[in-house]
Amino acid sequence: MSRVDCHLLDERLMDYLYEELDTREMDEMRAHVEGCPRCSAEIGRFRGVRRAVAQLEMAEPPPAVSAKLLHQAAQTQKTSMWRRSRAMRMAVYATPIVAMAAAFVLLIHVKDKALEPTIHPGEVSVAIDGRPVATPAAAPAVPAVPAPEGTTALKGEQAEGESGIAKPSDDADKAKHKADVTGRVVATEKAKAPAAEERPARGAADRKVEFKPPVTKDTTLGKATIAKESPPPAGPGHGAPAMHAAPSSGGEDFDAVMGGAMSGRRDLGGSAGGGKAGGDYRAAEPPKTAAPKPAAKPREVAKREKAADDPQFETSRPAPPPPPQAGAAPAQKKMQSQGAYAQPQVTTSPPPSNLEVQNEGYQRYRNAPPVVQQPQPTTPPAANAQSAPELDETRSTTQGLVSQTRRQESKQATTSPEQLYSQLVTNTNNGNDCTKVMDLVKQLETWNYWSTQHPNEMRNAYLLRGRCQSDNNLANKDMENARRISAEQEKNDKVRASKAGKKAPAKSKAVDNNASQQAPAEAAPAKK
Amino acid sequence: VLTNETDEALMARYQRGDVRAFEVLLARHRKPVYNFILRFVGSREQAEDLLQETFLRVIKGADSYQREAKFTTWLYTIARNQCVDLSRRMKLRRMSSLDAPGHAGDEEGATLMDAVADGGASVDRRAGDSELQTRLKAAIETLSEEQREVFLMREFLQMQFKEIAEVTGVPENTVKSRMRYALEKLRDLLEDYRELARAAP
Repeated sequence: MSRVDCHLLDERLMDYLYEELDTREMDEMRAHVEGCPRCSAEIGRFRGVRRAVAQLEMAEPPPAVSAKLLHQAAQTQKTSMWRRSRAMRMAVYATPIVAMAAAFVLLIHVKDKALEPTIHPGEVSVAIDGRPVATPAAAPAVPAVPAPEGTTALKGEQAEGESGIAKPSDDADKAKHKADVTGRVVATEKAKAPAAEERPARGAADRKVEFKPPVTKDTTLGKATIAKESPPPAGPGHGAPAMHAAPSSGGEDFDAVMGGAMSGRRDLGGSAGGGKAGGDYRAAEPPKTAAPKPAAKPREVAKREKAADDPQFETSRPAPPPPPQAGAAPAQKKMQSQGAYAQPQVTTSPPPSNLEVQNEGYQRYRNAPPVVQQPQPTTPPAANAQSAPELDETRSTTQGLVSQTRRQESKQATTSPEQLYSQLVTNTNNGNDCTKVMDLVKQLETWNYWSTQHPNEMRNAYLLRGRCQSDNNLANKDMENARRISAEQEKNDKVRASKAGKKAPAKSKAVDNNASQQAPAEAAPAKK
Repeated sequence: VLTNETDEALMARYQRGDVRAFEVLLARHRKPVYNFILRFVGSREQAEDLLQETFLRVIKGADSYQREAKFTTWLYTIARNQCVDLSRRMKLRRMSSLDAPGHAGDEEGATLMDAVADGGASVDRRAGDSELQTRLKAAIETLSEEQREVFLMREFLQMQFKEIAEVTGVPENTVKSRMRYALEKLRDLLEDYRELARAAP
């Protein structure tokens, strides 16, 4: 029995008419309609309406509308595609730009990281390639002794052992592992009688240490390293580092110094910048572990006492160093031959020429006011500084280098060129000791700048030495030098005269054998 | 190949730039939509304009179309809204008062719609039972807007009541009621063609 009745069919009439019922309901409804005349008639009428409506022909839209729509659709799609392609192009163009920018930023970051100091003070090796290093004491009140020839090149890291003697076999390895950065410390001192009279008892202020190589990151590191060294006590009572006759603002090539152009300054490798004197060569020694120097003052006293006993000088000269330890001299020679002084690996400017350095140094020597040393702020030790054994090793090495340098200091004291020339004239007047003449002229030759500024003195010196030369070739060479100087002087006089509107003086500087007799007479005003 | 795809797939292709997909969609739906609009507004010119406007909206709104939605529902909604807007603008209700049917059986008793109708009506009339066609058109015009739209959607667009309810925004039962009233009114209007109804099985 079907549950569908007329009422239910009336409710579901639309669904039944349009067959939106499920199959079961449709069957039930159909069964009821077939059995119910009323519902069947009702459904019949609605179906008749539907059939009538279905006979309505479907009107066809005009093709023009369709064509317009298709055209519009194509245009719109083209615009949309152009927008998408533009976005794609922008993305394509922007991608490499963004990538390049990112790469540039990354490169800068990496470069900054690479330039950051990675060497700690304890790892910095200091190479001393200058002349004998002065003790950190006061400057003398009298002219210093002539500077010795040759240069001592020391490298803190390379010199190992208790005696401070470098072991050649270990130098290279140490340098590879630790001495990444080396600078040059130029220690100078002004020691001249007139200057000393004007600036008496400058003390340690006369010592001036300059760190030459303009190394970027290493410079700072070198300065920090040097700054750890406590300044020596300044005052007239201290020993005189009388070997820095020519202060220099710039570093001089070690090779040039070794070649004979002694400028009276020394370079300390491994650091750069404005350091200070007083144990600069011990820069590698950390401040906390820096051993006190109880023997410093007695050594200074000994220097003064010995200098006072020296009849040649009016002032004290550095005391001779303690007895050299075994193997010190050979090791030092080997270091020099190997170029043991360490050039900075990163140099932003070429080192000045020898003449420039001497010029600047000489002018500073003549005119520079007393240098007051400012205590450098001590930097805390790096977190990864050297360990205790390494520090002890470095300390012992540095102490050995100090003693070694002082030994050479005593032998190669610096004397001003004026004093050298004065001694030369005095010697000539007192019997002309050819040996002493040879030695004095040789020392004068090292003063390049002074020799250029005092051609008469140098000409006389060459003439004096030429007379003393036993070898004809050497004698001729000295005579030739004297002639050259005379010619240059005459030429310069002519130039000056032409500039001044005057006729060049016709005085002849002809060199003859009798010129040597005029040398003392010309040297006297030159000395004044 | 495109003719076998669904409306949603074709619309997706058109969104990717395939104009041929839109061409298929247009060919598939332009006739029912046009007839729906034509029966709704009664004017061929207005029907053409509304048809063009409806598909233009489809073109412009293609980017915003989501495939989850049924394309026909979206399309018919646009068409219906166009018709309703036009009806409101033209005050078709007031105009419909002039659509008083003529005398029954009077050849000249065409409605006002027939008088202002385009040649399409004449073609319909010539093609089939011209009197029936005229009566049917007049009867449809007499339906209220709510009934007419439901009737047209169901008869011309073959939409189910559920979809009609979704497009019109009224409950489904309301749609069915409107549909029933529309059919009853048409039945009454076509009483003269009772024999036609009797012929129905």
